[in-house]
Amino acid sequence: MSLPSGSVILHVGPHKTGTTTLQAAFHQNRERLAEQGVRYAGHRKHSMIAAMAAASGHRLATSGADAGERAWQEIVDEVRESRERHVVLSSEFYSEASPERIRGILDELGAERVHVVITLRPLVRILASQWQQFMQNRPAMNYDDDLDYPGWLDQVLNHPDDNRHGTPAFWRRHRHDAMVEKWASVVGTEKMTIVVVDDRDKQMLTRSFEELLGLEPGTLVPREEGANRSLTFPEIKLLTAFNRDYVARGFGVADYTKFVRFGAARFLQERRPDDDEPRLLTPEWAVQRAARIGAEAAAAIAATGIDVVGDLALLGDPTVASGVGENDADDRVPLEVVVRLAAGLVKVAAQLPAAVAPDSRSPGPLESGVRRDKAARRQRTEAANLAVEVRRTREELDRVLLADDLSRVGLARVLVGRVRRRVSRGG
Amino acid sequence: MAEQAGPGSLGERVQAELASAQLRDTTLVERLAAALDTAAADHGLDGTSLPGHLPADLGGSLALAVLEAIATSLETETQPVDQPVDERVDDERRRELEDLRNRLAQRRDDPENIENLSFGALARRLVRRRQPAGTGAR
Repeated sequence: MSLPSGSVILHVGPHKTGTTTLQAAFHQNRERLAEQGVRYAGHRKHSMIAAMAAASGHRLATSGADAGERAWQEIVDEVRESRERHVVLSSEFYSEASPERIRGILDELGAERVHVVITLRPLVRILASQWQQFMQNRPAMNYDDDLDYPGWLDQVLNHPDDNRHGTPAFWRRHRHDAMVEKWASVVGTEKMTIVVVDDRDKQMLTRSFEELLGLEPGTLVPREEGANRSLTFPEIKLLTAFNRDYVARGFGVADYTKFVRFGAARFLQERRPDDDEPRLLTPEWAVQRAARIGAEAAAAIAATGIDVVGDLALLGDPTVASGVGENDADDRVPLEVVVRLAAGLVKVAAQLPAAVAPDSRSPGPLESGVRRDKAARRQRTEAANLAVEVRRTREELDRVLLADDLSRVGLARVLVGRVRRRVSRGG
Repeated sequence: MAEQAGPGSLGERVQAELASAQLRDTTLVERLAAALDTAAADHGLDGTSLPGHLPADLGGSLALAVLEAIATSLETETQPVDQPVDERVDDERRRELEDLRNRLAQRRDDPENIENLSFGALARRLVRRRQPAGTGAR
């Protein structure tokens, strides 16, 4: 099914449903999309701060006060001015929008043009990666650090209303039926499509979007997705231990965002672990519980009558879970993982520029301090270089002589010198 | 399980891990690597022979030592070891350098620069210097 020409496709995620793959595919194939009359809005792979501002009014801890709002307005202007057959927006952060925020988004983009696409994935395949994602943003949450992964699962699956888990966003994103119904109540079921991601068919997600947008097959192939693998069990054990100390030490969210979330954690993900390095496992009871919730969601979504690409039954199928079992109780981690995390932090510090941050950013005290320190060091180096250059230029000036600078004896010496040079050149 | 990780301190391993990143701020990298070695020593780890595995809590504390070192250096940076730089002095120096360079260029281009004068021209100036004032040869 292709969407009518002029449609604005708003892909709202939620998280952990192949959004990174899709965004990489759109961003890296902008030219091929343009040739086929499709624009991917924004300049980045993922216009995250714009979507956060529009969907919830939240901002990254490192963003300037109104950077997200400005970024969102740029996207709105781009959509309004576009003359392409389709414009695509994609961010998992739209999934968290309240009905009022959804209305605002539709009004700004032009409600009559917007078609909402929701990608869904079985809850049993989301739990582990979503918990890891939360752990990579730990200081931004009111999380009880005594909760390990099984403890968190118990809280969210068996006591969802008791916010000891500190991750209320989980059910805003992943009570999939409620999320779908929320969007349908504002957008209308006829202007929505749901794609159920089937991990057994790697191209299924991008192919579904190619069909929706009327693109040539193979247009949406990501050239590189960047680091997006899940952390291994030792990596996540180390990170949670680090987080505990980080929070206890009183370091802030903005510095965590810069140094860890978008720094050292990504650097860990770029590491290639051995095949036998343990993965984070989800206990069987949690898989069964999540599958039951998924089945309830699938039934409710089917009842809405919204167009579905793929198999809704997957949402309630416990057999699609991977990494099921109990995690090793060994609390030790390989030294190389510790080295990698530490190196990631050093790398962020070393790559910071020797200048204060631009107004669009709101860096934490550690980042600001490193920037200031580097700027001062650079200034001192430049001052030292300047002093050397002044001295050299003065010496050079002293060596350049005018005839009037010389006494008779001096002139005579110059002449004698030239005679000598001539004689020696003449052999 | 008491296997060793081979030679190399924690700081050296971090520097090796970053070798391919070709970071330009080697001063900071070395400083933070040294802080890691200090933290490892504080936790009783032998810098020349590290174990292949560490308790996760210890690993987390060691990694945090990078940020601790930054925070500590920022606290001490309020009174820098080096001479503080006065930007006005820098500006004066830049103006002085520009002035010197202008003068240098002028002197190099000056027809009276001895490098620009021929042998004969130099000889004539020498002869003129030998003439008493007012008796210059024409």
